[in-house]
Amino acid sequence: MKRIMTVDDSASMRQMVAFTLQGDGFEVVQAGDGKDALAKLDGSDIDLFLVDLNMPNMDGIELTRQLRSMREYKFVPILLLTTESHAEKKQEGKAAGATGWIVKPFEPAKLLAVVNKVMR
Amino acid sequence: MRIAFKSEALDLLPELDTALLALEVEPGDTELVNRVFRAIHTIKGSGATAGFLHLSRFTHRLEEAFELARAGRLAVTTNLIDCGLRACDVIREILEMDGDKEAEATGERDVTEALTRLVPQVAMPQKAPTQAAPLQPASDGRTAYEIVLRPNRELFCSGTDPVTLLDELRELGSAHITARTDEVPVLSSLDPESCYLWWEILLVTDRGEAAIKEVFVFVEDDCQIRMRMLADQASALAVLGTVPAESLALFVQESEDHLASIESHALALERDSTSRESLDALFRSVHSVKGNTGVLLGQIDVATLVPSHPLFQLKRIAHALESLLDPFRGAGAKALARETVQTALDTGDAMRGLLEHLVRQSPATALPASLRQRLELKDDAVAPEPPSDERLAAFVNTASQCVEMIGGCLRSIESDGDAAASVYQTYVRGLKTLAAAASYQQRPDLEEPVAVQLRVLEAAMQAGGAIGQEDRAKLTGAFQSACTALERVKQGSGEQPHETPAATGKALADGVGTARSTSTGPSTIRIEQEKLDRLMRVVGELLVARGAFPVLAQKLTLGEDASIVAKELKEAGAGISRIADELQNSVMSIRMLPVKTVFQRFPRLVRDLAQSLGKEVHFAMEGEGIELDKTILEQIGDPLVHLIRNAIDHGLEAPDERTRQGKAPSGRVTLRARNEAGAVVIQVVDDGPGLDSEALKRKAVEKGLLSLDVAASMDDVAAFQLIFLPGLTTAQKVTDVSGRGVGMDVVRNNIRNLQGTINIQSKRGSGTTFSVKLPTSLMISKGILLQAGSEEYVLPLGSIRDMVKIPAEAIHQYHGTRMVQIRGEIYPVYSLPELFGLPVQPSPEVSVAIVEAGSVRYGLMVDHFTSEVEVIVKPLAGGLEECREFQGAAIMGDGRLVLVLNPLECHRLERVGCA
Repeated sequence: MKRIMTVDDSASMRQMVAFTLQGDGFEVVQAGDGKDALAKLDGSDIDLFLVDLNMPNMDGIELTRQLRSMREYKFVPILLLTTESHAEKKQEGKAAGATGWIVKPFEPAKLLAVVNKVMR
Repeated sequence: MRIAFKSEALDLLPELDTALLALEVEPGDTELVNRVFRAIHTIKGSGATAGFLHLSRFTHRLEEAFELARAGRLAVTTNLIDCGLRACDVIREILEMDGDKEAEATGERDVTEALTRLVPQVAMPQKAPTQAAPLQPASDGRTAYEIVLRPNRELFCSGTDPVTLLDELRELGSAHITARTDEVPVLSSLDPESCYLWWEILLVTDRGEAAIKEVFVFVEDDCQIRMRMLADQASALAVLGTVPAESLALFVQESEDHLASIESHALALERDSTSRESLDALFRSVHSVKGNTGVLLGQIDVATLVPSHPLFQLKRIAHALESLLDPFRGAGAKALARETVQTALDTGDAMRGLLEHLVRQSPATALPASLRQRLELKDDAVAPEPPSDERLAAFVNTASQCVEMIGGCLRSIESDGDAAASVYQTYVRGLKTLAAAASYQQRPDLEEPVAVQLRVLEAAMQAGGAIGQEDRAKLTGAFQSACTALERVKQGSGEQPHETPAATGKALADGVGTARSTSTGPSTIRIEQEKLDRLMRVVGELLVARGAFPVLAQKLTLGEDASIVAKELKEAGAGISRIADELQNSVMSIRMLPVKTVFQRFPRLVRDLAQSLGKEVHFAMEGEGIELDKTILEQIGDPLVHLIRNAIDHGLEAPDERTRQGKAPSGRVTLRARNEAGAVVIQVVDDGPGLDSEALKRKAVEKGLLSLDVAASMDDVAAFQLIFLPGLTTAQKVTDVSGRGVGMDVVRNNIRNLQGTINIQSKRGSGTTFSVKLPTSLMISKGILLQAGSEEYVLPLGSIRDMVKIPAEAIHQYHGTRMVQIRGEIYPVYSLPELFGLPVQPSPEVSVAIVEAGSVRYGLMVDHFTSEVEVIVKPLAGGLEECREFQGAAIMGDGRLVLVLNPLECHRLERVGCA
């Protein structure tokens, strides 16, 4: 089963994401911010990261950068959750090594489509 | 979920209030602005996701304002804070509404207006038009696109797997994907984390350009993406939209095989223009191309193809070449002219170009006028041909009319013996129409009798119109056979003497496929029916042998004499073991292909090269049937090309120079493959001037690759090895093809990667031989299991020249190196336990294996040899590949893991250790 880590400081957002993904047969690991995400990584397989851009402690860009510097997660797809007003943030995210982005707000179907787009 | 959001948002609001109030006191604190922004952002994002769209829209305005503030483009004023605080109240009010309802809150409009006033329009970032708007309305019809996808080398580092992109394209419609491998470097300089591949995709889809762009939306910055509509939409839709991608790829691959065959047989004919076999084989290949093209065209609605479509062209010139060659095939026909051979070669090249056009779906370019003339093609492009069954029907129709007409004429001739000239003319016209139709349909059984009648009639007309009794009988007989032939066509029976497209399948099965880098999809292998049958037979035997065991178990339960059952068990085991061996051989043989698949392109290479260098070369190939593992074959081509180029360019003297030395003016280059002790040796032999060891040494010293005194003490064999140093060449001048001193080191590396070795023998004045020794398979090899220290290792059998047990005192120390004399030859000896730092057990007798690897020979001292084993060598991975003294690891029958030694590198290890 594919494992997806969702990193978001909003519990309701995480819950929504987890609910949708689990419904489609994914295993979901949750983290509240970048620091929490790194702490919860134990080198085990994560097939995809869903990372919110704006988070306290460590934001999505920094988390992306950190993940890319780790041997285990260098090539794992990372999707940033962003809002449409963030054109330049998208660029910054890409530069940090993000694979793609999902524009908030999104429908569950859209989330699944994008997740399946970047993950084999 | 909505409840979860409500409670979370209600928790966030006090935080937002506090942050806003703090910001009023400290308007310059960016962290506070961030806090405000994050809270608003979360409310907006989660709200929308939870379905509070009204709330989300309202919060969006607020977010916009604080985003600008965060970017320093909007001052944090009391006005802004005020708006924020009022917005908080609005949000709270909306959240506290009953149930799932959302409605406009009191004062909401005021806040929105205030915010709109605050956010200056000019400060808003210019938003790009949304991607979703299609550039052109998606028509209900399909469109064919050409897409070139060239990822940046760093693509993988953004977590993108390009295969997901290709898969997505496949979902859009019918995608013909060609992977391009031309940028993949040699293994030694390949960075496995870089993406070297790029793709050309022909896509037929009804989803429009926007859908394609959507596929690449995340990688626009990581890839160069070119997309255009194909110029010839109708043809592209007809071909790509109808023929499955796999069929088209297979067609291209098979055609390439036929082209290779055309080339090799044409070259054979150039040497021996009377060779029937070569001519027949050439003809068959041309015919197969034509036939296969016909079959492909039969699947397509050809009326939509442009006349210049590569498929039509291909069929046309194949047909023209066939017609050109046909007259030479009859018994007693004259030998093929040199020009005709050249035409065949040129036509083959043109066909290859057409295939390339087909793959890219670009319209074919016009043939060179000279070739068109030689093929006797008319300028006008042929009209689209109807599919073959319709064509056949049309043919039968025409032919039947002709036969009816001829039959009428024949009857009137028979009745009066001297018919009017008009009858003759009608007869001849009918015959000619029939002949043309028959030749177009490839019906020699019909053509022949028609030709007989024509000859008789023409002779009669010249003689004044009278037809004798004998001639009349001939006409009647020929007419009868024509009728029978036509009957056969009508019945569509398989008895046609001529090969039809459907029958070419057999010809394909006979030829063995070569893997082409241009073919897409999983690597495939074509298997001879016989090999597959053998495999089936062995599997059958296995099933039978399996039946013995339950019977034996039964016997044991019934308490039969254990020693008898043990004997029977042993026999059954032996049977299984024999079957396992056979099974292994059968499966291995499937992976084995004759070296011919690689060799066949060399005659052409040699010919072109010799012409461009002004040399005369007699090129011979031997042992083309020797088989090698497919993986090895695929990689041995380039090194061989290099060796052959070298042999011709500076391995051979110019003709006048050769004459001066009393040699035949035409040089000989031989490419030879043979089996040798479980390995395959491929030799490139020339009879040129040989390598100049002194010149090599001089060059090496000049380039600082060798010190003078080492050079002085170097023997010829060692000096020849210098040729493999990067940057060294002895060529007098640099030519188009070689002499730049790059390559031989690459050749050696490539061969080493295949666990092979390369050896040079050369004699001044009489030539050079490069011998490449390759394992027949990379997978399974035989070896000797041996013990050294407390460890076990496997030494590959192919590298062992001799194995002896000698008294310890037979090993002598000489200049710090142990030496031993065995069967009259002296070898340096290395102790394996010492090399690996294992405990050495002194013993009065030592076991020594004489190892021969590449150009080096040495003795390897071990504790003792255990047995001969057959192992499957798995390469080391995960950082261990650095340990070059091992080829890999093997799992023994009892599950133990044993390392397999690499004889070439063991030796190196010792030398490095000494230096």
